[in-house]
Amino acid sequence: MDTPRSVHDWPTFLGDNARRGGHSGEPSGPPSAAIWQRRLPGLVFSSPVLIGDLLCVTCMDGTLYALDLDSGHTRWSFSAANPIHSTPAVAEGRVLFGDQGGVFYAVESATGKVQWQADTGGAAWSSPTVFQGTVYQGTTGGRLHSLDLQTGRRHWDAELAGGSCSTAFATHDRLYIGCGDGRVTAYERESGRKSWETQTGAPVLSSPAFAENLVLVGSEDRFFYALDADNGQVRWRYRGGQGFVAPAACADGSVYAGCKDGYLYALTIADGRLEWKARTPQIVCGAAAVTASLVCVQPYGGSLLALERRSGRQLWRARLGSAIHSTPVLTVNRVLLTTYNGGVYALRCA
Amino acid sequence: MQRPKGSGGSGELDRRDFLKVAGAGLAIGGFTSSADFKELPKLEYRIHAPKPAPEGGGLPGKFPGRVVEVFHSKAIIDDRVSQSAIRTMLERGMKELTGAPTAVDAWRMFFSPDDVVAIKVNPSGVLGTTTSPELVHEVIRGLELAGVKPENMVVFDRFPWQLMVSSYHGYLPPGVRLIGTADVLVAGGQAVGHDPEIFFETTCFSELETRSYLSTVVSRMATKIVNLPCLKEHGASGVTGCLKNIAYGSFTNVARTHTGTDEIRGISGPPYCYLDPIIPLMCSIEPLRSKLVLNIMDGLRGVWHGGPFAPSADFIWEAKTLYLGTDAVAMDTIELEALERKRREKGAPSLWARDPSQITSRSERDKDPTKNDYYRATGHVRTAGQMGLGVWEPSHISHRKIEAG
Repeated sequence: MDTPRSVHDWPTFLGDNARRGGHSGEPSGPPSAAIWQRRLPGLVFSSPVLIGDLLCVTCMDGTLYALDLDSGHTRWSFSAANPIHSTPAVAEGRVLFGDQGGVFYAVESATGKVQWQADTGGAAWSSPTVFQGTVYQGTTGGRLHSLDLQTGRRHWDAELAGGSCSTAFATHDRLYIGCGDGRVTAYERESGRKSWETQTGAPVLSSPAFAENLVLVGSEDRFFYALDADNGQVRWRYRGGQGFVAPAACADGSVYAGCKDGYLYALTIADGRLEWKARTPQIVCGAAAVTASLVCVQPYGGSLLALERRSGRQLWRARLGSAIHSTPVLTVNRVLLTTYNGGVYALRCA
Repeated sequence: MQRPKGSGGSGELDRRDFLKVAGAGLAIGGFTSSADFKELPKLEYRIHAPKPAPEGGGLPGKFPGRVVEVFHSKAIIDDRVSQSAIRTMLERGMKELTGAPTAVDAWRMFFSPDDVVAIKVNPSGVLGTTTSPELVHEVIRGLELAGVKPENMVVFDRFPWQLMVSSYHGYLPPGVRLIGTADVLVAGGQAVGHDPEIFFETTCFSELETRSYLSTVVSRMATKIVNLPCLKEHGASGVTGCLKNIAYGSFTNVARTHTGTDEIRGISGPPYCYLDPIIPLMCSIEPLRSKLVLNIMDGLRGVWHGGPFAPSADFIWEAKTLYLGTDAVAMDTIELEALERKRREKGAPSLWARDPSQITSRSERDKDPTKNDYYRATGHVRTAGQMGLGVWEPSHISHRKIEAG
């Protein structure tokens, strides 16, 4: 997110465009009680996003729900034409997301009224990336779209080598995205022209992070890659026990990547050295949220796990419904999260 | 009601009729009876399926009694499935199964450009014991060779979250849909559900929901089905092969067949179950029976105990094998032989055993291969054969073995 926001906000996937997976605020302790909880009438595979006192959650019943942060009550809802898997992004008063039928929406965050919609020709599994007035969305239809944030007008769209479930990472010059055919590709952000591509050994379902001029991304081929952002050359790679499908989050020289082998790995960005790895109760497909001292993940199987960022030691664990791709939203005094059975929770932290 | 072939019925449709069949645990197969083993009460059931099977259509398909087993020494390298080896294995297997000169010709024997093809995977279990995404990828390639359009292909099973954890969505070309039928569409365009007109109705253990409905992916969306089960032992059904994979993945409300308590009849689920005869009965229901035209069993890794979820790696081995056939019963018979062989090698009791001293809890069973939490319904394979769904006698099966590399 490149627009000004309060420290409280979490307006997009992994918090903001830095893909840090968090910000300076962090829970002061483990969850002690539920402030409220909701059960939406469909599965939820997305993460919540928070803007002001509005929590936005997309649901496979085809609805975008805007919930009151304090009560959990529905302020408004918007019905899309198809089920929604995409984690929304909020920018300049619009909630942005794609549905499973290839329709992309911009909905007014104050009212829930649609401002514009665009045909993207494929299901959106990933989240929109918003950068300097432009929205970028890859689809399982094998295309990457660049749309004007204000109008939805198409700037360009680029053909990918396969379907994409990866959320693009935007820098001033480029976009980086993973693809089902195993490639990580860089595009010129203004033109959509391909800059470079690097082939991995299996589909790249993970979403890239970016730090120290490296594109940091996992592959189903069991490797986590650091690619030179200028030319795509592999600077280092680290092997896990299963595929890396969880989007990476990075902060202060470290990258945190969940793996389907059930571990969360902390690697040094500069050289791929293993700082620690922490066993979780189940496989990890969702991204980690990172704060000054915590790393929080929702492994498949039903829990919210908080690890000490420095060591990977488990600090606390809250047993909840199961999640797959969800990442919690962390604030100073609460944790907001979704579970795939339609659960939405606001948890008070001690 | 549609009478399954071999049940003694006349074959005419009578939706109000109830058909009684022998209950679970019928003396089928090679097990030895025990004084402590009790047969469940006979199962009354009703099948509601408006259309009969077309003449000569469906199981056992084009090649009754034929099973092709393809081994490749490099199918798994460094714990990863080799995409190129799978391609070679599948091409060799399809040619051997059909006698066609090329893989393209082989695929065209089953599929045409007008078909809508549902690909049934098995995503239940720890990673590595589910249908390999690499195999799904190659099956899609084979269908494309036959001219089937990607937008006319659907990969499906019941639970969307299991499909997602296995990452099938990452291996699908643009256009191919991924559907979890238990709730809502996962990826694609249209809503799916279950067909109110096609169901199997029975009470196993006094459950209140007595019907199991067929998925509309099978009944309405697809014209053909490719079934991709895994080489796995199953604690309740003995094996979870072609028959169980397609039956229990296509109908709703199937857990009741092996869980629950009936206080009136004084029976309960574990260690008893009704998977025999319910698995073969479900497979006999139209249009599932006639649409299932090809089975390709993923035996790259085998599970000889602890299935279907296989929580312990101790019971998983790299078999590096694919099995191909149209005859689901013959395929499962060969699967059963392979698992029995492996269990003998490991000192585990037969899947046909009926020894009460071997019955234990699920958690103990997951650790100890000499124990189980059910009297396994391994006989469902033979029951299917007796119903005319395929060839169950090993001596009547043409089992062809190939080494592809």
